[in-house]
Amino acid sequence: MMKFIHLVQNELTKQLKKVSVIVMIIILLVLSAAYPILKLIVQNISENQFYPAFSYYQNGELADGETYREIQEEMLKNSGLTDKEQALAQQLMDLDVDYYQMCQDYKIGYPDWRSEEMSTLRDTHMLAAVQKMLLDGESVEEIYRAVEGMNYTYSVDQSGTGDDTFLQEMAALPKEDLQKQYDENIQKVNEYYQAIVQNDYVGHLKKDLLPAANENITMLEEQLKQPGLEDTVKEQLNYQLTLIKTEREIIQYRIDHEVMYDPDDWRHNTLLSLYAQTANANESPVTQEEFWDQGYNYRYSSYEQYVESVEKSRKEAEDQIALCEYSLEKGTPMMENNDGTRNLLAGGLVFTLLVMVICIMVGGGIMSSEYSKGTVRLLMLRPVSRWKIIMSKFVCTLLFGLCCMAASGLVQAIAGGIIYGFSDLLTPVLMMMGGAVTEVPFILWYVAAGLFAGINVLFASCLAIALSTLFKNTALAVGLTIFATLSGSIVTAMAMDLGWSWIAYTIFPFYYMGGFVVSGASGMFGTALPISPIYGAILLSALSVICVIVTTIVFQKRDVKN
Amino acid sequence: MAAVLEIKNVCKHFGKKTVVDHVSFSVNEGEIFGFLGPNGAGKTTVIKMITGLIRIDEGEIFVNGYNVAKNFEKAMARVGGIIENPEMYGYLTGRTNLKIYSRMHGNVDDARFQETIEMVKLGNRIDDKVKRYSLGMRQRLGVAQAILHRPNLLVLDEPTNGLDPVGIKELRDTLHTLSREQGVAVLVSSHLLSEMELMCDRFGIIDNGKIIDIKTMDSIQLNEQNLARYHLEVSDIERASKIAAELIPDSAPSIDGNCIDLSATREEVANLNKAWIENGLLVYELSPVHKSLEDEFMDITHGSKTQLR
Ligand SMILES: Nc1ncnc2c1ncn2[C@@H]1O[C@H](COP(=O)(O)OP(=O)(O)OP(=O)(O)O)[C@@H](O)[C@H]1O
Ligand SMILES: [Mg+2]
Repeated sequence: MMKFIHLVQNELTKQLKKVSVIVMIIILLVLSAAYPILKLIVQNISENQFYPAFSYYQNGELADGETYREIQEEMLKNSGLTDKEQALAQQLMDLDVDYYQMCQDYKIGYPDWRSEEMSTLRDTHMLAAVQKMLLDGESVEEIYRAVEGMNYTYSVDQSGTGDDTFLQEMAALPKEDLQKQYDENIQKVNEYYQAIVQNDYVGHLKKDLLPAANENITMLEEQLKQPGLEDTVKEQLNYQLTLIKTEREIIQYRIDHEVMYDPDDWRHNTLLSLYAQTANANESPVTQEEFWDQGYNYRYSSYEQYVESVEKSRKEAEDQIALCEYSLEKGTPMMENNDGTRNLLAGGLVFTLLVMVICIMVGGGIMSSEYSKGTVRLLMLRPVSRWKIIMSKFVCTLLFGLCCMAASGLVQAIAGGIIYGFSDLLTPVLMMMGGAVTEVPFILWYVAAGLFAGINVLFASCLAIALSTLFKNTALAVGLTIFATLSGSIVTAMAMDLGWSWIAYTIFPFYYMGGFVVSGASGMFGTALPISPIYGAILLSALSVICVIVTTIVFQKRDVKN
Repeated sequence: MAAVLEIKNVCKHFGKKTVVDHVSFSVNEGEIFGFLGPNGAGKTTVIKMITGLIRIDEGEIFVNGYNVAKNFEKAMARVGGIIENPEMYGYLTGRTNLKIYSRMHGNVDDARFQETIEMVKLGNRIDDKVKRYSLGMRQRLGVAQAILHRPNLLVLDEPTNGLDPVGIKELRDTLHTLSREQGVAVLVSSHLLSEMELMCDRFGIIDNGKIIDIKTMDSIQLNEQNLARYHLEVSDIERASKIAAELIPDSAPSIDGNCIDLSATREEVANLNKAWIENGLLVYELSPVHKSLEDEFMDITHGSKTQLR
């Protein structure tokens, strides 16, 4: 045993004194230290960038209000509308251009609650304008042509039928009803406008959004009470009802806890994710006919597989909802919703890929260089069995990889802690375990995640050493291993395009196990492929063991001819 | 004397070619055994089989009583060696290289480590990177790694390669010391026959994978009983050859100018010299034509040197 430790020590000595290895280690550590800083810089740049709520880019440059107006006028002139229709379209266009200008005047951009409300404001205003036209006795046909001619259909027609049904319906209403709708819309426009101009989010939530949500809920509940509804319609209404109820809860939570629209606030991010996951959790699969008609069949191998994947993402979404609710209730930020050290370290698992490359370099030359330099002769006339020699090379490479990962993690944690604060490291990670939300100490989680991500290092090292021993050629071993590991994302993407779902059972989708830890299988590849990270972990581990066994047997038997 | 290395009927085939063909010999304690043969004869192959680098197709090899094929670690425990050029890790210092090898042995303490470095006279160059070493310095380091763990069998494949005359002499002295004083058995292959002559106690000559002859150095050195060839130069070759023919009847003389070569014992030549002088002849030169290892080698392998197989 002592002897074996000495062998490993020897291998480490040989590797750690190589200039190339030292350089790679330095690069790894420097990048690990720079990573939190780089992330901060990138964040700052993107935060300072202004992405207006409404934008039109001409020759790669954001058009100002004046330019936008010219463009729209040009379009109106060439629209082929009659003068009468042009006059109607002009009214809508003026609104469009005004609100475009408003975004720039008030610096309304992403991410900002106002940018979300801007579309509502503009669209409501345009709808009101159309209603006014109807009230003024303009013909449905002309209005429709005006709306259509300037591509405002999506703004004005919120039912999304794509034809003039919505106009017909409004025209069919009694004048008083239409007038009432119009008045309501104008009032909404005023409220929204005030809120946006004053940048009064809480006021907007209280005065506008909460009542609107309540109103919507009442309306939907009434609609649902109507007798003789078709099942699909009912389903649709229920879906909307669930979403709006969630929205109301979120609004209430924001009001109660004064949660602003602020991406730096983890509660805000949690609320956004809660809403998105509620939508996912309530999504039901399309019918079999729709599956074929709407081209789902290109992405899924069968309808059953599609249904299964919807079911799976529904479960995932439900878990996420439970986590979000727990997080808000206990005031424990979830890692992914909190821009802190934990999140940084989770993202930093990507450094396993760099460690993997270093290990491929080390492992790919570890046996072949002994052959090519001829040192193998003096190595093997020692009183040491061959299997011990080859095993010491495996152990050395893996130990080396492990140390690199630990060192990188440590450097990231220190650099990250300095920038984002060390206290975040003490916040537990929330996980679903056995159907219940569980708090796991972050350090434990990080080590486990690192080891899981490290399976890539394990596999790449074993494969590189195996090829290095079998072919006695460093370049070949390094090249083939790099291909078998790092090409995974490209190969998987290509296979998905080609509809080859069997790719899910190969090693290719598992080129970065850390990705599964951080964003889950669906986060990595969507739900189209039946990809299971656990399967991948077992596959890679098993292949690693096979590499070790085959290499040992071959090395044990083979003559040293050079 | 106990045999440290025993090779019994060993064969090795590379593909269809038989590279080592039923080779048997043994090397005893305290003995330096020279392993001679033309290029491609199979010397390196035999040495690689002894050190376990290549498998033994037939036959058995024992080192200190342990079968190399079956009990590798025990058999190798007291073997040191150089096989072809002693390639080391060029980017490491000589000391680190030795450290690596010493860890693979278990019984090398610091004192022994230091002693070895001094023995091969690398001086402070031991802390230089090996890639900056000259060929001879590498060879010395090679010797150091071979003797580091006090082996009782040294297997050296062309260890004199690249050594300067002083280095060769030092190596010879080292080997002599090891074998005479510590009873180390040495198997050494080389092309430098004159060197081998000075170094070895016994020779095995291998050609085309077969052991052709095993000789002791004594048997090819001059001594009382042995006939040897002498080279003489005298003033009057006519008379001289007549006297010689009378005195030594079957001396197979050959005459060239004023020189005569003939076969005789030491006694006979001395008497011949006396007879010549008494007859008033002047003797300019009298020297034994050394029947050297090289002749022996050439005879046995009858010029197969020119025909590589
Ligand atoms: N890897 C190999 N594959 C096939 N044949 C080989 C191999 N290595 C050596 N041989 C052959 O085995 C024979 C013996 O080679 P070996 O190296 O033992 O000779 P040697 O006596 O050491 O020669 P030299 O004096 O040139 O070092 C040669 O004919 C050689 O061609
Ligand atoms: Mg040789």
